Amino acid sequence: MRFEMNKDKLLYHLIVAQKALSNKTPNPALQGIKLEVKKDHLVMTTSNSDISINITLDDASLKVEEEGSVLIPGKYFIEIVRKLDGQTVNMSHIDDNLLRIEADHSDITLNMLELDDYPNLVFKEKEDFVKINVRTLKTIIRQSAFATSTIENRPILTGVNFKIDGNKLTSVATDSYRLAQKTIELEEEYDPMHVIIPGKSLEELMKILENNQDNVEIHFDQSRVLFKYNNVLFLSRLLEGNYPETNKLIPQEFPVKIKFNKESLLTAIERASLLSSKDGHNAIVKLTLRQDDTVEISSNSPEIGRVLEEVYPVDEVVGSPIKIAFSSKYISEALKVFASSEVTVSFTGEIRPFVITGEYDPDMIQLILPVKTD
Amino acid sequence: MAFDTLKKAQPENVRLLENNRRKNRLAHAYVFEGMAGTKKMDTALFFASMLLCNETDGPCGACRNCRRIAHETHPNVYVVRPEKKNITKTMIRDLQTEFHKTAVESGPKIYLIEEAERMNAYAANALLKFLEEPHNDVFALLLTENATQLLPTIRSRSQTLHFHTIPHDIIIDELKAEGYDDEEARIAAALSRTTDAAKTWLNRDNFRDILELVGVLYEALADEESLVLTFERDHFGVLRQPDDYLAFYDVFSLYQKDLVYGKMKHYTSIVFQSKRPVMDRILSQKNRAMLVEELERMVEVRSRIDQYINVRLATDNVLLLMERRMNHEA
Repeated sequence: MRFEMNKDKLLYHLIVAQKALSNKTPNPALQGIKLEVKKDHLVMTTSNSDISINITLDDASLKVEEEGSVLIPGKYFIEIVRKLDGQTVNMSHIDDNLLRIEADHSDITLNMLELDDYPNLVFKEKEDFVKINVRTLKTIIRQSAFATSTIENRPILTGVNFKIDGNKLTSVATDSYRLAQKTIELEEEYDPMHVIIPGKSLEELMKILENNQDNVEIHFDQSRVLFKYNNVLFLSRLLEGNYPETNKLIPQEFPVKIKFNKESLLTAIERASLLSSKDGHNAIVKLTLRQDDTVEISSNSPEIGRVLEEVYPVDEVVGSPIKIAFSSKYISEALKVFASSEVTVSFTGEIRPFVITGEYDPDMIQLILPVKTD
Repeated sequence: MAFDTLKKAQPENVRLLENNRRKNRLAHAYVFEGMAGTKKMDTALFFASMLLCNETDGPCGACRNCRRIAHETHPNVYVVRPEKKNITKTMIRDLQTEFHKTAVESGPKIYLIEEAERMNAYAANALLKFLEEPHNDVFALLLTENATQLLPTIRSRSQTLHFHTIPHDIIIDELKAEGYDDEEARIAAALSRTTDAAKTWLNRDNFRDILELVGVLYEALADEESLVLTFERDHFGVLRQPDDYLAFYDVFSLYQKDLVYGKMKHYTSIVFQSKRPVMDRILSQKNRAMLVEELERMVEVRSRIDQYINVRLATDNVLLLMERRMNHEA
């Protein structure tokens, strides 16, 4: 193997590939970047077994003298390329499984890993795939994935459930105390599909997707999902098992509806959560709808002090006075994903889940379970 | 053919697993019970290869899948080993997380837990919960020296295979295949229960010196020279620490055992075959009761070395007993 190419182009793609590089893994081969040099392009592969990234590179600066494949220790390689001087970098595979990197005044040799130990990753594109705009995909991930569970008692809840029904794509995430659901309309009709994608995989995918008007192709399979974004293939494993039926959890009738300015509600809740004996994130905050239709947000921790915030609904309140307590973390995380500046909070009862919706966030529901207080 | 040694060492277990697979009756979980060195891990890797090998006629041990299983780098084979002699709940939880995801490569997924008895109560209960909901195409192999130390509820959900100690000839064959000398391999095998232990013997830096010392002692005995003086002259530099004395007594009593076999005319059981002429000369002068008594004394001294006895003195006693008993009518 021997080739040369523009250093910055190489580094740019290496940094994308690095997202799937594994730093703690029982298989040392996964610490490597698999580099396949073909006649007129390079293919880079990285994997941490949960996600795998495959990048095809055919830059004008690439000059291949000899084809071949190697497994390069990722961490060192990226740091070396980052620090190299000069425009072009020349790489060749020399005896005893060594990689020689030449650029400007540098001449570096790096021990390779055992290519034979690298997993057999299949980045196979399917004939039917779902086509979706990058921004739309980023929005649905951002508006749902945060609600996945981080504790792994029920591994299935660490994933986001993607469902396709006709031309509708719904993504649902829940950690059993709150639920986030977003539905979008696709341009075409597709066969029904139902997969659970690990939340962490989607987080990594978000880092790779840029804010532009490109399209992403999603290739669903029974055991994996492949996202194709320009020259990048992003492969994720799926979670196995049955995702809980979440439709029944969402109440349909709401006797109490209050419309807020999102910012003023959010800041009131954040201030109220400051004085909490638990760490700020898990603070319990109370919301009281008074007779005069003003809303009180309060928290009380006897050993620290108490906060009382008044928030004025932006529209006429529907329903009778209500008093409800909830985790400030859940509600502020939910509020932050809204694009709307005004949100409607709809209650069914003091110990029943409540739902947040926004006018400019069609087909999105944020549901939160209240906590019981005396 | 790969796995040949394993098939000779654990024929029943290998055959059972092969038959289970052929009849499509593989259990979701197996407990492999047997002492250290009974090739439980080799059998576990054989099992994984059997399920993942690319070749149609049984695991080849040579295809890419088999090679990666042997290197423990195949993504579908997950190995849990105790850390600081403990298998914790976190380790079992990581395992569960891994197995709730779809396989990285196509084919079944297998997890192996080495020294499974080292799971603490939390870990064992977490594993139990996981075993209770069998997943398709997921197989568990729990390796342990003592299955009774596993939760009864775990055992009842698995099929237990017992691993017998490996016959000495197989250990000898394995050692010879690695280029060790025939007689040394026989001696090391007789001193150990497992191939690894035998190799430890062979790689001891004073192993050959100890053999030499024991040989010289018995030659002196046959020549009716003083054993105590011979020992005095030759043991320097060979026996330095209590541990060396333990090794010396193991070899010493092995030779003595050979003499007893010689007396009983069990010539094939003799380990030190090359010493037969020396043995014959000694056998003509000692009866069986004497040989057995001397052997008992050796074993007794060996068992007391750890108890801060004066080893030199005890050894002299044994040697004196042996040399005084010469010249009696056999």
